[in-house]
Amino acid sequence: MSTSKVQKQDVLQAVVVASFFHKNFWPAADGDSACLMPLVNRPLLHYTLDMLESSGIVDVIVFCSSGSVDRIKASVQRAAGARRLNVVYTTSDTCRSFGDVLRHLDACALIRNDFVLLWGNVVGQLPLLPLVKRFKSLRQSSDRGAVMTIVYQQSGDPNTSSAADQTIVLAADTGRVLFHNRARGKISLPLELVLNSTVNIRRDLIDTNVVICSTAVPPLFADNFDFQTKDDFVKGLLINEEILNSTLYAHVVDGDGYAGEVFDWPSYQRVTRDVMHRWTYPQVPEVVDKYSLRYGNVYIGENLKLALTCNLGNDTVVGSDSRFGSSTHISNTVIGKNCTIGNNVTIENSYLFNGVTVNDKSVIRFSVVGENCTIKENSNISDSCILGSGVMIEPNTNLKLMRILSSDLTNKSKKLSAKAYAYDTENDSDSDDDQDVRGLTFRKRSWSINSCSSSDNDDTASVAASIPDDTCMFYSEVVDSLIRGFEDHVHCDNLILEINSSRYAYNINYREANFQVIRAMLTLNTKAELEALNQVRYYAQLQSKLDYFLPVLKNYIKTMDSCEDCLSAIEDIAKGEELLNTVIVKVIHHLYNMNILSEESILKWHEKEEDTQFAKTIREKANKLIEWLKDAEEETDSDEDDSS
Amino acid sequence: MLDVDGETHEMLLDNYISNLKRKKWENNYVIAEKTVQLFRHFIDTIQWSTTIELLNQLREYGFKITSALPLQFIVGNIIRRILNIIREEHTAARKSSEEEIDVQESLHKIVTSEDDVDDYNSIVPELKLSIFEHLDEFQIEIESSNEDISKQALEHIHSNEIILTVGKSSEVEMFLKEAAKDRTFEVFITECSPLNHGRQLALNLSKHKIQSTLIPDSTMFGIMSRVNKVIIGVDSVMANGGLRTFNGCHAVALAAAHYSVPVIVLAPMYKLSSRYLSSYNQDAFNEFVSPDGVLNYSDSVVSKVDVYNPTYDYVPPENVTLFISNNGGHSPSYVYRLLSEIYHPLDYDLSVHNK
Repeated sequence: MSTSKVQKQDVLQAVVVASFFHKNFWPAADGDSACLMPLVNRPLLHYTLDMLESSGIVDVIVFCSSGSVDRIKASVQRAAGARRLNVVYTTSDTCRSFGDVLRHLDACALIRNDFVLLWGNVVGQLPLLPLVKRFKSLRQSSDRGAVMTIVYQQSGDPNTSSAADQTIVLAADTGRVLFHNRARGKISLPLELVLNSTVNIRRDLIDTNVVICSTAVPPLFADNFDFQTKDDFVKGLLINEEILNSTLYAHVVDGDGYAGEVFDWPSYQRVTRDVMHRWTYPQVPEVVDKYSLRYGNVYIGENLKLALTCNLGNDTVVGSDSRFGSSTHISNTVIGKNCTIGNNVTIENSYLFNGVTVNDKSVIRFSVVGENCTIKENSNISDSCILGSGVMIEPNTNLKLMRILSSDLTNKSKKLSAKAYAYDTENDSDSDDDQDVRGLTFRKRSWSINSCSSSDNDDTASVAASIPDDTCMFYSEVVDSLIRGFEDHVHCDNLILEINSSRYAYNINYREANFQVIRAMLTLNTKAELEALNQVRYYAQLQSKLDYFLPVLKNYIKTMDSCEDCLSAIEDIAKGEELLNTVIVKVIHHLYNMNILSEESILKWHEKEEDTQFAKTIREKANKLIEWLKDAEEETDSDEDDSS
Repeated sequence: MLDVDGETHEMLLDNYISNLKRKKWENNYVIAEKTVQLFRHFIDTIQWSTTIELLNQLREYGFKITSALPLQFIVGNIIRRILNIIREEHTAARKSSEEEIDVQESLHKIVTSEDDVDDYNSIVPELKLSIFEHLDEFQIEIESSNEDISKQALEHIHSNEIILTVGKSSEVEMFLKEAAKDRTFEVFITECSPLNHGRQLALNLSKHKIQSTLIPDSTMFGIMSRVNKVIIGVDSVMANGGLRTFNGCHAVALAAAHYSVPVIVLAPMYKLSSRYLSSYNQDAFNEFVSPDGVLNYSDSVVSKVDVYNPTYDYVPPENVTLFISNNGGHSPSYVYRLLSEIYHPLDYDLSVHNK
């Protein structure tokens, strides 16, 4: 259809953000061109463009970073429907976040009308035009301030909804978004939300990364330069609703389509499964490409060479021109084009990209194997291994929970062989983004009926690298600071400054901070060092450390409350560490001598009724100290109570 | 209308295939019309002098389309029909130029004749014109096929009969409405889950003052004993007289066979397909669509079950009593004969080039 006759203001535009600003898929794909990563042997971006095209949207603006623009252009040109799209590319070097992209759009003045905004990782089949129409009529009739309709997918799957972990409160009648929170566990809702109107409080919604925006959205981002992500935007608008005079609405997809976003490995697994189970129809392998479908969701490409005894299990996609040896078992797996699989190979729940070679007797489970990798005989790759492109795994290798690169770019990787370097996440201390990178969910789903209810315990617990919460992060930072401080003899004032800045960074309250600092201080020794030390030397060393950190302690332990935190921290650590347990009374005494712990607080701690066996034994141990303290009280008036 | 201005054939093919893949044209009738329009445009714009050049070019396009859309039988039917029209026109023109003979072919003549194999290599003047004339006829045939079928309604539906139909089919709707002009009868309509198109038909018929009852698919067997006739529409008729039709029809046909109720299938000629059922798998026959409708995505079991939502059912020819096409009634065993009349045997396989 020619667009020349259509009036300019009537053209519906779509903006596709093809840069993800995260490294969740690294090393299988980097952040810039992750939208070209194959999902069921087709680049993610193709799904997104296909969805736009089938919704009848022709004008598409693709934002990509300048480094990847050529690759994205080339890939889009290969997409089947690209000819029918009018794609405009825009790029910028300065964009570091989603918010920057919208500010860039605002600066370029590319947006002429209400537009559909989506990421290059949206897979699905969603009629967008009715949504846009509804949004427009909403703006014209009832709410002029409506700036955005957010599209959510309803999901009853406990695995996915707990992964998304967001609580959204919607007005029951209009679908207006009243509250949005991404916290885990308990959340508190403002009471006024539910006082006057009927609301739906929902935790079963997952993001689709499709939003319908009015022209007011890019200027809003430009005005509020602290909006980095969509969540920031939503939060900012909800807090400043009156000031910005903007409202948000939600549309929940249930039954009228399907949309899913691929932002990390668990969602990659989920969306891959949904594509194979045909929720995205007609965006399924055999419609968009040349596959044939057999029962059990087995998709078979052209020109395959399958050995007679090769067994393809359920939910499997095999790309064209691949070869399979005899007695090879493959299930729940996507295999790219031009792959060569040897004899007696087992591949389960994995994703092999194009051109992979797997030699005889290897086993691959719950892993991602990048393009053109070679896996030699008898290797075992399992439990969320991510292999970048071009990796060569030597024979008889056992790999678990690793990210493997073909070359050592950062010098932080451990060399396994000539073309395999293991990237160690823990050692990467200077990576500037502390984003949680999650691996594949690799424990088998439990098939019991009550798995739905106990989802938190066993269904989702197996994410490879679980999200470290803020407190843990804070704790590890403090440990880092203290170790460095002790070794380099950093002045304690500077250490305090450092700890305080971490405290603000992770939003830790005072008492929590006290607790964590003490914990950190008592656990500075590594396991290996501990084993080498005996009780006496351990205490000597601990004492010297405590003496060194005296100014730090003084700074944090000032009040009665903080003394209490300090003691409970000591108790907490002693519970886990045998050596400290033996000297706990000494430590408390020492801290008392150093005027850190007040007498009252120790007495109070001692008197506190505790149920656990451990707490009782500790208090028994401290009996002598307490007696001594009580005696000392009678003799001298204590003056160490320096509560402020 | 097909938008053909200034686009290359590749673009047209591409758009056409993508429209079909996205189900832009739900109705088989619309697909047939669009296909004829497309090929009309091709015949008009392809540079050709001998008939074989035209045929080969069209077969190439046809192969492209049918291999991209292996499940759209209608498209293949229309393409083969058009190729046959060209062949017929070519032969007719040549024969009329050589000698004035009876163009009408009879079964006897076909069997006995040792006709020289035509290589379509000659240049026939005015061929394009006669092809277009024939194509016009063909288009009119498609357009009026539903009407032609419904004209025969009174021969099949009698007063106070109880008719059972499955889902919604435009042929059946028109057929029943036509019969209702003169006779009163009762219609039972199964919902045809998961699409539930039956509801729409029930609504349309009741607007037309036909006594109609919507029943769930599961109650069909209980009702069958009271039914006089089963009348169903069809997606396409296979070469052996079997049906590829809406999901659920096979059960209806078996129930009908159990109670010896006649099953009448309304199938316009363009739905006659030259294909056989080779496997129940999707690659050759069935089409699995999104499980949406069978199960909601928001159901918590989604990740634990495999859900299939097939579109079609195969009904074997022995369960079909009669086909009613725009040319009259035929029994399933006669389908092969109809096929050889409307398609040329050389066109069954579009991939092989004729010399």
